Amino acid sequence: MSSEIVIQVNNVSKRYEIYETSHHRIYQILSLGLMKFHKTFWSLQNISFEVARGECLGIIGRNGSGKSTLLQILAGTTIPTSGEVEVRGKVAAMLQLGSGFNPEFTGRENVLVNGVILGLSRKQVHEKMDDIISFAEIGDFIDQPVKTYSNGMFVRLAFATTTHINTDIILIDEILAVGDALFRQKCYKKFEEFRASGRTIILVSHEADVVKRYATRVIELTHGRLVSQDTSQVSAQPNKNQQ
Amino acid sequence: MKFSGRKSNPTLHYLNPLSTFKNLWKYRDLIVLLTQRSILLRYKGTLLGFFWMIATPILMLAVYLFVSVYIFKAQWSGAEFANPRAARALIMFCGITIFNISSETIHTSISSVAGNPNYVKKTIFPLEILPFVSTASIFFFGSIWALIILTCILIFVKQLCITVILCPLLFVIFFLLCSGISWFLASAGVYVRDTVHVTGILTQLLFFVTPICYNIKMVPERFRAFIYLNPLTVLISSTQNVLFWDRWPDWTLLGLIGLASLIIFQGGYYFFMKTKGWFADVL
Repeated sequence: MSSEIVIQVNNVSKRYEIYETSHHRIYQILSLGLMKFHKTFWSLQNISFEVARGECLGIIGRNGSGKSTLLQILAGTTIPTSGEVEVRGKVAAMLQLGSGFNPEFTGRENVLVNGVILGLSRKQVHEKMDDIISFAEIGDFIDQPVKTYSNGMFVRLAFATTTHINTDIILIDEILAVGDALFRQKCYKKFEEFRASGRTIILVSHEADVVKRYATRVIELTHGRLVSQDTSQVSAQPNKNQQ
Repeated sequence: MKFSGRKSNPTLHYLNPLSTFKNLWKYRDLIVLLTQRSILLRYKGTLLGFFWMIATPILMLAVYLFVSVYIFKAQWSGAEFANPRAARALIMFCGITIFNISSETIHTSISSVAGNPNYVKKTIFPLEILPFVSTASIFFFGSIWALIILTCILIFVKQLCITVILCPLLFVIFFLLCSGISWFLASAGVYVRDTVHVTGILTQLLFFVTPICYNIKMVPERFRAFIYLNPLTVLISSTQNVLFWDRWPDWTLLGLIGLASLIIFQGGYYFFMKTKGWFADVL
């Protein structure tokens, strides 16, 4: 494994301000920080870790342990309250599959839009279109509006779109539970391919045993703190509050 | 890419109009695609589809013609034309088009980011293009209205002035103004949900301080400055001047509005970029 660091997280914390009612928010603005009208909630506290190129890092922890916040920070959709994050390379985030899809448009149109959102030109997406359609196994449905799709088809198409675009880093949040067993196998095979081609994967889930099977290294979060950085110490007990 | 705490946001970078245009150019494919999509989406599922794109302005203009010819007697403008009542209807319609574009920009931009929480929270997405795209698609429909006005001028007034060549410049100034405003409102709409109610009243007020159904000369002297504070006043009177009376606009006023529009454009972008990091936390 090469030791080139692609993600560096340095002492990152994230604080949310919780307001009881919305006018407390106005009081807070008007008081210019002299008074406090909110509770603070630390979603992440002093997180530091590094990810090398080609690694598949698993992040586990119970619901509400800050996994998704951490992933959002890595994706750049939210800013840490303190600390620094450095990400080298282009990132694709699967924080929720198909979140950019519009139900009124056909699969083909949605793939195009999503590909362009991920940074390709329209021409590049057209070139990859056939691969994406065949990986997603949805056949002629590609030209039907996405609202007519079954849940599985929707997810398969979204997964195919994101994975067929060559980004350096892929962030995946809790999506392994979807799709049937066969498609899951296919997804994992895809992950293997990525790692072989030097792409980095960050896998987030509350299912520790699933993550452990595919990740090269696992870190565990509890109440916003990093509790373990080693595969051998990961507690593999099933989560009681699974969705 | 590097993300960090509050301290190190590149302030000066966002104040430079060139970097704004460069950023928009970088996302041109996405802007074009999303604009197309939002244009298509407006008539998706309707029975008449794209027919509405032309039908709406024509029917609207028909209403104005009817009112102007049969009901509204006061000839405050356009008396010198061969077809004075139709001319007045077109002059009014020209104003109403510009007003409609701005009020629609105000209305749609508020929800352009707040209405797309998926783009904010679940994908890596250049959010600054969302308000821009909504403005661009409104201007697309606006230019169809403009083409219909031009056609009707040829039909009813039977002349097209050379000054028409200034329309693209007016269009650009108007576009800068509207996209600047849309960035402000899009960000405000995320943080303050009351924005939509405030702007609802403000656009109503805007309608009455914009010389659409009256002439600026009919306004008492002491209120006129107030009307001129509204950037639409100069834009509408310039447009009417170049379309109907073969007159060049007041260059000083137009220059001022142009400068103000550029400042609003850049200010709106700056405001949006400085605030967008916390969108995901409040949505």
